[in-house]
Amino acid sequence: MFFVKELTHEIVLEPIHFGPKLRSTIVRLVKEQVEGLALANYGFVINVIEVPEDKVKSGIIEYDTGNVVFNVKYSALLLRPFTNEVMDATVSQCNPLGFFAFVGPLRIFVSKHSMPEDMFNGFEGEKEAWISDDKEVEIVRGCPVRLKIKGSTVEEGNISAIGTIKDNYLGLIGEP
Amino acid sequence: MSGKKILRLKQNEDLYDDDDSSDDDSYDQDNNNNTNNNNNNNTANLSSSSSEDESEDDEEHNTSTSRGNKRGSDKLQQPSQQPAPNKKRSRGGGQRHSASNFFDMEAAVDDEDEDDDEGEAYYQKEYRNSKRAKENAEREQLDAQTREMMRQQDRRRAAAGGFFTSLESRARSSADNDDDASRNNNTMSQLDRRRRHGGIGGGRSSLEDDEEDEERSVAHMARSIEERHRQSVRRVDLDAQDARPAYVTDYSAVSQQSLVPSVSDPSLWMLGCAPGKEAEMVMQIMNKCVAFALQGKTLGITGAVAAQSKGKIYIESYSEPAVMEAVQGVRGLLQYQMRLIPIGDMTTVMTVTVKKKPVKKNDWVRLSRGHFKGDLALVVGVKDGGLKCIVQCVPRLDYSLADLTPEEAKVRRRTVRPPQKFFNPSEIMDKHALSRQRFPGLNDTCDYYEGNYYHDGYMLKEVKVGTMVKPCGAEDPPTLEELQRFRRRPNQKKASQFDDVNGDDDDEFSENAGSKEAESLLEQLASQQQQQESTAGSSAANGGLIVGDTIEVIDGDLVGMRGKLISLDGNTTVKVKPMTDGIEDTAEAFGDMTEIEFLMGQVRKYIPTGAHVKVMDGRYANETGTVVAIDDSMGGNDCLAVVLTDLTHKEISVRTSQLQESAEIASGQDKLAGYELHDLVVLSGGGSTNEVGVIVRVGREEFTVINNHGIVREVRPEELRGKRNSSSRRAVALDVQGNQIRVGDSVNVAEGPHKGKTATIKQMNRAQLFLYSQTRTEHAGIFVVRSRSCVLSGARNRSSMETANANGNGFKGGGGAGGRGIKREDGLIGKTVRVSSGQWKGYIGTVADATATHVSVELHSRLKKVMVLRERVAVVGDKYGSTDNPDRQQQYNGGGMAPTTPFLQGGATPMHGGATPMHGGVTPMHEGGMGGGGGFTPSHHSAADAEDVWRPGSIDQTPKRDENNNGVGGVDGDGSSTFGSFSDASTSDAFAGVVSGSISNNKGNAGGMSGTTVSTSTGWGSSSVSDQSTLNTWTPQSSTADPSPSPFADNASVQTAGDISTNGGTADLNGSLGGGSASTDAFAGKAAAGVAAVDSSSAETAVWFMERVVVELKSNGQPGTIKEVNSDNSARLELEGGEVVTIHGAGEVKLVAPKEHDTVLVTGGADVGVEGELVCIDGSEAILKDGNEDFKIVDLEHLAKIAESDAM
Repeated sequence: MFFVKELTHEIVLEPIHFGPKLRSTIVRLVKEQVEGLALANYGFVINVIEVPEDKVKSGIIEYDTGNVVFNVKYSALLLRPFTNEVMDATVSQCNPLGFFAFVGPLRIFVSKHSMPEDMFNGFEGEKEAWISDDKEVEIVRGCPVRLKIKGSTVEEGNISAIGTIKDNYLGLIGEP
Repeated sequence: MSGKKILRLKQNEDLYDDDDSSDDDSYDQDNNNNTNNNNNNNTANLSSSSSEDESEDDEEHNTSTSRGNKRGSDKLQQPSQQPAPNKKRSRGGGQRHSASNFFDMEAAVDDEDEDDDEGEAYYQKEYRNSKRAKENAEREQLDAQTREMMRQQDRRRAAAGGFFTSLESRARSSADNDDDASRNNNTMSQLDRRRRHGGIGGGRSSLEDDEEDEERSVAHMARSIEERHRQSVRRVDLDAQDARPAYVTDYSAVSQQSLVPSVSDPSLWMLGCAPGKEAEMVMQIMNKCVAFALQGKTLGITGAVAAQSKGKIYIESYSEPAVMEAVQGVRGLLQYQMRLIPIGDMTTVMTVTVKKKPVKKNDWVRLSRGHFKGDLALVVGVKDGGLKCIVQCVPRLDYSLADLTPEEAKVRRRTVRPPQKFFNPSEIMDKHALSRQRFPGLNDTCDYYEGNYYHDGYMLKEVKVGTMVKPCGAEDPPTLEELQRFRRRPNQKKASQFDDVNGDDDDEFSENAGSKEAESLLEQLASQQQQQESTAGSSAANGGLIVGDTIEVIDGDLVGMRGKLISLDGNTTVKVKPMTDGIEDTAEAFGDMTEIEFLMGQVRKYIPTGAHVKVMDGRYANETGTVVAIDDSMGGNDCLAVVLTDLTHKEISVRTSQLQESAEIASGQDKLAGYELHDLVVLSGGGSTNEVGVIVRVGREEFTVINNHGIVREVRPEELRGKRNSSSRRAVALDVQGNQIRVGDSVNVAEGPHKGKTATIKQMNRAQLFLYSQTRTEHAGIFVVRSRSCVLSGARNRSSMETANANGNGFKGGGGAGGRGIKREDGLIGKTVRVSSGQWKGYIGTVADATATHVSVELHSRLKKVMVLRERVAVVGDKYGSTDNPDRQQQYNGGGMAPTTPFLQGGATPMHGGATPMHGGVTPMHEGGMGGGGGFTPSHHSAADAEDVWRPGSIDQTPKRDENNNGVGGVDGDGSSTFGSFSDASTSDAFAGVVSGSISNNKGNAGGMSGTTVSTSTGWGSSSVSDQSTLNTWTPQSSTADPSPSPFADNASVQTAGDISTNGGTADLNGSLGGGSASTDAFAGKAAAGVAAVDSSSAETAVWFMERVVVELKSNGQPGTIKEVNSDNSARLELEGGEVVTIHGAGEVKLVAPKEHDTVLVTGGADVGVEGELVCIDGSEAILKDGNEDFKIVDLEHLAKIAESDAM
């Protein structure tokens, strides 16, 4: 699910930046450092929408280094997978165990166990595709699929999820 | 008890046929006695033989009997606990009794062998070792009667149990006799019994014995009782028909000692023979003896035995000539090797080493040679007395060998281990190579293909025991998977048999025995497992529940409820705090019940799909992974979870009771013998000397390794010859664009079977990259690609790119190292550094040389070069401005430096400017600004000689000179460093190219832009374009011309920054440029202005000026596609109408702005060279979908529209 949230981020600035452009530097650094990151509780930061410059408070000088620590508030667009959430994703790779699909930066693995029964044995190595027994459904790289998130794993800086297409209205939703 | 055979011969007519393979060798000496007695007796005592014949035809060579005899003659040796022999002896006649004792014993043991007394000659054969194999061999030579006897012997042997092991130990034992005795109680008691009988002579009942006991003195009795109780009392029934009570007694060291051969016993001679022929030799000697005996002659030997030693047999006799005679004419024996065994060594000869267990039919073994190494096999037959066996295994056939040339096939055969696959005759192309043959030694007709026999899909093979197969011991039992693989499923089998034209009729309807065997074992294992689960009190019994687990109610009123386990009460009930859908606080729903009690059987551990789990128990213990599916069809309080492992990307099936939810990401079983997963290792064997590989799986005792040819095989730790991780980490390779790539870099595979994949370099060896991709499942995500098939991609370049772009400075020009990887060493060389600790702390100097760990610093204040640890130097910069981005600095210098101003780009520029007239335009400005700061002139290399810059001719020499002058002065060192890194990638060429005006990059296609050359000319290109266009067009074009921001530029910036802060002389510069640096645009503008003034004769080409790019004629705005670019910078342009015009130089055309869905080429930035479809444009950025379906975000300025690829 995408959502917008106010977050804070800590920026450490060297003294060289202290000048008229301080705030814009901070804004820039926040974007640079935060965008693309996966925060354990909030999901991926897709985009930093706004870093209100006026809200950047004066920082704290570190005694040892002379660097200054700013706690910057910003609002960001986040993407976080929720269990049982239904998402549309693009298939990026099929392998004998299932396929990987992406929703933006989020990688979702759909195991063959989570596919409809008629696809369980449907992997075709040559085409790298999952094909249902009646050949109606063919999931290959690039296909859009609708899937349901069954669980997610948070690693350092990354979130990956397990999904299923074994339910009503789930599965292939278009041509690659 | 291994293959030993003893042949015992009696020298009178009475030869007793006995065949007891269970006899033990350690009894040999007793047997000697025995025979000895027999010899003595029989010669004197022919008359008695008839009576013996009737009742006691069979002889038991169990020495206990002979012991009685011996005792008769040698009473002094007998221990005191043999109290009654004399008395008993009265039963048998004086002379007779020794013999009759002996035979009595036999009768007692083996009543059934009566038929044999019809024969005039009884020969007695004693097979000392219980190898069935031996029997098999013997069978061929024995008649039906003997066979029957052997069957009985078998039975007896079964009853006797561990008799012989004890005998052996007895022979050896000395001090710890008690121990021994109790251990082998069974045997001892038996022995004892026999001994008594030996003494007594006839069969006696236990009653008699008791009476006898009564006659003993009380003290005696007391002692015997005591002794009796010291051991656990056991009775042994040798034979059902012969059930006699066994007496339990102790065995003292003395009595043991009495068994050791003495001078009065026959001697032992050793004879050599061909290894493996031992048994045969003994057989021959036996036959000879029998034949001689039939003729009334007797050979003077008392026995022949094939002990365990290879190539040796032993003959027992009182005289050497007798032995000579016995072996006379026996072929295969090496008489000249005959040697007398010293008495002390005789026991050693007969000592049984138990360590080698003989293989039996239906045993599981492991093959130990070749491709089959480690494979499970089933023994279907034993040959040559256990030396060889016929095994059945799943073949590993490589059908592709037939298509290869002999040399290739040879290599492949050596390197590739074909997978296990059942043999199917229909798959064989070359039908001539296939025939039906009988497997020698078996009744089955088999398919014969390439020297091997196949039956029912299995391969049959005759192998040597010990060297080619190893029995599956208790420590290494066949695993479930192996058995499953071994079992041939009926349906599969049927299918193959229908195909099989030659289908074996006998087996059509019956499953292969081996397959059945595997199946039964599987079932056995399964039931065992169940039993274990039901009985084991621990994890399995309670479903692996641990307090805190989420559980699910599976039985009772509250089925389906989930809750948290609060406590386990004993092993019967559990307390559960209910929760619904993960919300714990649902107490109200259950009427204020905060906890509910359930029976253990009513709940089971609940593991949701998608949970990250760790396997706590069982075969996959310590693996972690994500649950992808739960199968609860098993019923009970356990379900099967399919777990996708983190490490190997394999699916494993585990019971939920063995799982525990855990966030831990296992390194799993990733260490063995000092090697870890993903280590780069050197492989031995396999022919090639430099074979290396990366460990992709760590097994229990072997690794799976993918070698540098991408071939996967299993190796044992001892086959590895060390790790090469460190050299791999140091190694640098070049990608297809000439970029330096090293371990940890992310690359795109540009060609080959893995084309299009993005992966991280895990290890590298020479030009082979071991790439790791998280989304690949096979071989733990590792695959092998040549470095030249890859393109460097990934965050490193991109980040620097973005930084550069963020500055909005398109004037960065060269970006010399643009596409190149960062060479750290170069990055530091030439920089001014301050030593931060150690002896030289505080000193400032120039880095003259750098290695991965050390830098050599030329100190400013002293004429000295010192080596300092890399970490101990902080770059304090050079004088050419400062960096704009502290992060970048940190990346390269470990955060040593701070100063940053946007000005830097300007600072960097002149550096490149040193090579180009364009930058020359800049220089005067600086000069003005600096007021003759001197050091700032582009001609760093030669300090004062600013003029050189302007003379193109000198440029070629610049790098060299720089190197020569490297580090002469601190200030100049900066410049030299720059050039130093330049020169790394054939700078002079690049410069030469630039100066001569040739367009070096136009020859290359998108992918072919390589390194410095491109970047340099790019810089040029931009300037030249700008020359011919207005200032307005400058910015975008210059950004186009800014292909890769590069570490190089950054280095430059760093130096610059440093100098500003440290160098008094350049402080000026900072100040004076302050205004300019505040706005790089302004600076760029100035620069551009300067450039505009520069002579445009050396017009360069824009980076996009290449084939397939869609351009627009400036003259009339007609769009067209560049079809061909010539070396003289002219190009053939195909206009829209199909008309072809020739243009001269890129100046005549301009780029057509790409629109959405156009096919575009990225001409700059991190993704330079990428072609793709433009998905959308967002301000100054464009989103691009490349050939790998990956989305890339690229600056719009870097995009050039290209014609729809027709060639691609």
